[in-house]
Amino acid sequence: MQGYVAWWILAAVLVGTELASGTFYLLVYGLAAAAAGSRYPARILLMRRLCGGKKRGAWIGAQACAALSDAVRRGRPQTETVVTAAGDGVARTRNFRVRIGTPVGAVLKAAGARENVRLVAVGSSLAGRTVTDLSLPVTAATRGVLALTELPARRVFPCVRCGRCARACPQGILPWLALRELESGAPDPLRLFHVESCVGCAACDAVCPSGIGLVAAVRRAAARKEAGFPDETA
Amino acid sequence: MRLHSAPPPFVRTEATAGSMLGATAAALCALLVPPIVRYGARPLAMAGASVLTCLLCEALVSLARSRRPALAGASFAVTGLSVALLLPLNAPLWLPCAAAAFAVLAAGEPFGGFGRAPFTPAAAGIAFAALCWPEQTFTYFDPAQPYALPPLADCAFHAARSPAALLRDGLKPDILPLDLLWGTAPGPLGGTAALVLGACALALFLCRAARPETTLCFLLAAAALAALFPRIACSPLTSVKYELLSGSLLFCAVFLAPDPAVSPYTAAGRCLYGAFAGAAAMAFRRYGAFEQGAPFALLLADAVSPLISSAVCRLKGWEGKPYEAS
Repeated sequence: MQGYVAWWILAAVLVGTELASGTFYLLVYGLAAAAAGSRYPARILLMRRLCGGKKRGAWIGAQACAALSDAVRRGRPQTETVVTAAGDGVARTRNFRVRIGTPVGAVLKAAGARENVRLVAVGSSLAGRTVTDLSLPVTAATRGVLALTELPARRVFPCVRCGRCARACPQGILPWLALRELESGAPDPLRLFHVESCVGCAACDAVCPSGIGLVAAVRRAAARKEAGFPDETA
Repeated sequence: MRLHSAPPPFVRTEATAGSMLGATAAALCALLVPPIVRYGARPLAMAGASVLTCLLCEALVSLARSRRPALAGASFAVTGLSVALLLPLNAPLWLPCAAAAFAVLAAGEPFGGFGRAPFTPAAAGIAFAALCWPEQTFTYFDPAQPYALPPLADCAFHAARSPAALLRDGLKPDILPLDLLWGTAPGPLGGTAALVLGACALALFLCRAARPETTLCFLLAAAALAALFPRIACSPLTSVKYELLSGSLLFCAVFLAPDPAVSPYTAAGRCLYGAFAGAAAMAFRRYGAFEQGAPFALLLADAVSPLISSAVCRLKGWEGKPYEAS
C-alpha cells in the first residue's frame, strides 16, 4: 500500500515538474527517475540510462501519467491534452490545454497563426507528419503543432564524411556506412551495421550538413539486410 | 492559407556543407590580407584569376554534362584560393590558372566534383604545377627588398632562397623566427604567415567548419619526425620550428588535410590519415626532388584513405554482423 502512495506522490511531482519545465521523466519499477536533459531523442536515452543492462522497465510520458492519475483516482476519462504550438508561423510559442477532437486550425488560431503559413506539422519537429487539412482533430497522442512560413527545403550535397550522423544516432547506427554501401550499388548485408535497430527518430537527418535523407537510407539498408544475400533469398 | 506537404524533419541544424565551405573560403581570404597590405593588389589578382578559372571550368563541365552548375557550394572558391595561396606571389598569372584548371578538370569534376573526388583538387593542382613548371613554382622573391609588384604583369624581382630550400640543402635558414610567424620570409603566398594560419585554424575549428584531429595528427607526426631526424645540425626543437614554419606544410595541415570529402569517416581514421600525411610530407621533404612535399603527401594519403576507413571499420567490429531482429 505504501508503495502505491509513494508512486502517486512521485507521479504528481513529476507531472508538475514536467509541466513547468517541459522535460520528460521516466518511471520504472522501483521508483527510479531521471531528467531527460536536452539531448534528442530523450525517450530512448532515458530508457538506456535507467534500463541499461538486464534491468527491465517502461516509460510513461508526463501527460499520460496525469491522465492515468485522473482515471484511477477520480474515475475521469482523458478528454483533454496539452498541445504546444510552435514555429515561425505563430506569434508566440505557447502550450494549450485543449479538448481532444479540437481542430488543429483552432489551436493555431489561438496561438496567433500568421497568414503566410505554408506548412503545418503535427507531432515531433523531427519525425512528425504534415497536415494539409486544418480541420483534422487533436488526438490524445498529439503533443505539438508546428507552423512554418518556409518549406523545409534544402540543397542536397554529396556526403562530406563529417560523421555527425553517427554521433547523433541514439542507437549507435552508422548512417554514413549504410549510405555508402547503398551507393556502391551492391550493398553487402554484413557491412550494414546495426541498421535494423533504427527507431526513426530522424536525428541523423536533422544534423546532416549535406541534407541527405539518411532515415530513408537506413530503412532501405535494413530491408536489404533483412533480405540477406541474394542466394539466400533465392 | 495554402498548406504544403513535406517529409520530416521540419527543422535542421544550421550548419550545411555550403556554410562549411563558405567558412573555409572566408578563412582563406583572411590569409590574403597581410600580402595585400604589404605588396598591393597582386595577391588579389592571383587569387581572382585562380578562382575565376575554377568557376569557368566548373561551369564548362556542367555545360558539357547538361546539368545546372553546382556553384552555390563555393567549392570552386576554396580550390581556387588554395591553389593561389600555395604558389609564390611572383609567379606568372597563368600559373595559378593552369594549376586551378588541372585541379578542377582532372582531379575534381571527372569524379563527380565536390564530395566525390578521391583526391584533394588543390593538392593535385599544385603537384601538377610543381611537376610541369618547377622553376616558376619554387622561385620566390626576396620580401626583404622593397617591391612594388604589378598586379597583372610579370614582375622582375630579386630571388631569395626559401627556408624550405635551405633545409633541403642541409643549411640552417638565416631567418628570424618573427619573420616566419609574420610571413615576411620567402615562400608560398599563403604558407608563410604562421600566426594568421594559426588564427584561421582556430576559427575553423571553433565554428566546426573543420575537425582538428587531422591537423593535429598531421603536425604531430611531422614534428616528431623533424625532432627525431633533423635535416640540419641543430637541436630537435629548432628542427621542429623550421620544418613546421617553412614551405606549405602548415597551410596544407590547416586547410587541405582536414578536407572531409577525402578524409576517412571516423575520428580514429582521420587521426591515422593525418599522421600518415604528416609523415609522408616529411619523407617527401627528405627524399623528394622538390623543397615542398605536403601536397604530394596529401595525394598519397588520399589514395590510402579508403583503406584506412575499411581498416577502422573492421577493427571496430562494424562489419560482419548478421541481421538481428529486434
